[in-house]
Amino acid sequence: MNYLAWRDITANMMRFVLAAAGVGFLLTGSMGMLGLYRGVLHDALSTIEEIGADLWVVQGGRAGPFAEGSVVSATLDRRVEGVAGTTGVRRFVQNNLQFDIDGQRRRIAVTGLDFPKDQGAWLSLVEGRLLQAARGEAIADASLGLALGREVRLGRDLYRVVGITSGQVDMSGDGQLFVTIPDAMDIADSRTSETVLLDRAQGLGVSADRPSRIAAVIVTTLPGMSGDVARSIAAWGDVAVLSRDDQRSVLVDGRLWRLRLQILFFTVLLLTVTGVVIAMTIYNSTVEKLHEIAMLKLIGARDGFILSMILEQAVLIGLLAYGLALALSMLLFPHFPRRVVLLPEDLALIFGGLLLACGLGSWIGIARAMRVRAKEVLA
Amino acid sequence: MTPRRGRPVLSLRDVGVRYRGGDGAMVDALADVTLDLVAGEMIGIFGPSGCGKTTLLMAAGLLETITSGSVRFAGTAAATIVDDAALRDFRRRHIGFVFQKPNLVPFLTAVENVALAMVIDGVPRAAAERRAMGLLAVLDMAHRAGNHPARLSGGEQQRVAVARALANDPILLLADEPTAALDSRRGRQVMELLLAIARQRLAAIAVVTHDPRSMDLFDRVVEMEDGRVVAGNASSAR
Ligand SMILES: Nc1ncnc2c1ncn2[C@@H]1O[C@H](COP(=O)(O)OP(=O)(O)O)[C@@H](O)[C@H]1O
Ligand SMILES: [Mg+2]
Repeated sequence: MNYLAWRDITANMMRFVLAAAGVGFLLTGSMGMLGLYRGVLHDALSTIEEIGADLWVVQGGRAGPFAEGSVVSATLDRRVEGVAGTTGVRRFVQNNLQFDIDGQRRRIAVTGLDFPKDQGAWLSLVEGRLLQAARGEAIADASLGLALGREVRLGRDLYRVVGITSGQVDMSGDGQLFVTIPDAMDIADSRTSETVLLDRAQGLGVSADRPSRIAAVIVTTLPGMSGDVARSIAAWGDVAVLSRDDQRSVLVDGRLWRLRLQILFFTVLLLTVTGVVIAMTIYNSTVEKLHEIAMLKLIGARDGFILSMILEQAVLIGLLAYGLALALSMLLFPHFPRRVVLLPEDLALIFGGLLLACGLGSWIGIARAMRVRAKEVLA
Repeated sequence: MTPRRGRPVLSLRDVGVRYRGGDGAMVDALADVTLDLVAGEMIGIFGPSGCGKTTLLMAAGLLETITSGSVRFAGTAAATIVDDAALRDFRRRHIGFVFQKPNLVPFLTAVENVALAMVIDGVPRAAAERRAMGLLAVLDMAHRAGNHPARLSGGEQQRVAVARALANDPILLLADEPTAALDSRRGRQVMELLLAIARQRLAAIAVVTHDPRSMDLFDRVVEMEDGRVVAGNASSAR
């Protein structure tokens, strides 16, 4: 390291530590911002990635339950089942609802599993078991804070938490509660048994176990057949078919692109402020040293020596700040209400941005130092 | 450039330096100055304020572009060293400067300040500090080597500055009122030190001073007025 850079820092420790701390907090902000976006993305995609669907059959002309409302007939699964190439069909419903639990208003994403075909085997349980009964059982995400064995009243009925899963949060951050499809419908409608009976009497509901409306049908197909199956179903005209990739792009490019733009904007803004803070610190400390810099030139220091003195200080502030930001991020973000995912490529991006900020930030200080003339010492 | 006693280190011939004054008129800060600085000699430059003494040192130290005449450094025309970087390299290797103010780097210790002049010349830090300690010992400052400038007296700081000027074994040492900030006893000590350096290291030394009490220490004395040398033996004394 440059002989002077380090000694200057140790002599003005307070200033450098404060600058590094300030820059560190800004970088923590950048990391949190990108991490939050990655977290939202992760949460939004996790159901799509894990539920094991090759195709989603949704309401005609719509982009599926994750993008907008989708309502299809509850018997659609039987039609889809008959299409050549399908190996499995499941019904899907998900509703974001609010409940009073322990006197607190909680948001829950109630997701229906097509029991008994789907007992929740695709969920990674951290505690308890899968669904074993058609009614009254639930698998709760850990973020909901519902203990195993706990009975909660959702709508009219009591549900017993038989399993706990983790990381199952929807795009808006609501923890998911998995119940059977009929339970999910009941909870959504908060239907009383009286209305169920009434429906039945009027021939509206097929039965209490087969609600009339669901959000989508999930299809698995034979390998390589998903295109054919999608085309056959789409040909019916009354429904739309989305592949897993379509679903992903509906979320990533559709619902989340504005968020992404905003996050990117804020990250650039934070990195710019970072650059300004570094620039101000470095410029001030350079201006304070102008006499010494003239002196250095007079006794024959090369420009490179002076440049490296200034640049190394800037980079050192940057490195210190980056370390602090990493430590803070790892310490703080796990306690955030939303998932924050720190990807190596994002951290590298921030690091690159930081180095750029250091370079640009020290530029004005360096430019000022280069203008100083040796004879100013004698003046 | 091995110095030999009496051999000219620096030769100024009809040197002029012209500035554009604040009112736009040209000012001759230096006019037709002819002066030889020879190895092993210390000369004194006297004259009233504003007569061009500092300008003369700057021209001699290759810090100021001359507008007329020639500067030859041990036979090499200074005009052939054109770019700033080359001039700096030349200064670093061959010229030492001492000023009225010590101009020490405040966040470096005495020994580090002296070593700095070598470090910027590519000398490894440890070796530079070892040699710096030796120089401080010569200047009777070894016991204060680890102190920062703020903790040294004016005279001590100035001795550190002299040590720094000697770090790269210069053949030319230029001092601009080095004793102005010192009491007469300390001032005299610094002057005697410079004379010893001229004799022992065979450096050519030019000292700008107002202090007539050190007159007896100079091999030659040059008096200036209005940018011109008006009295004194400008060429070699012997
Ligand atoms: N950069 C400059 N621009 C214009 N005039 C200058 C400049 N430097 C010195 N001078 C003028 O040159 C003259 C000699 O200055 P200087 O060599 O500093 O005198 P001294 O050191 O003998 O007091 C003065 O009149 C001064 O005003
Ligand atoms: Mg002067």
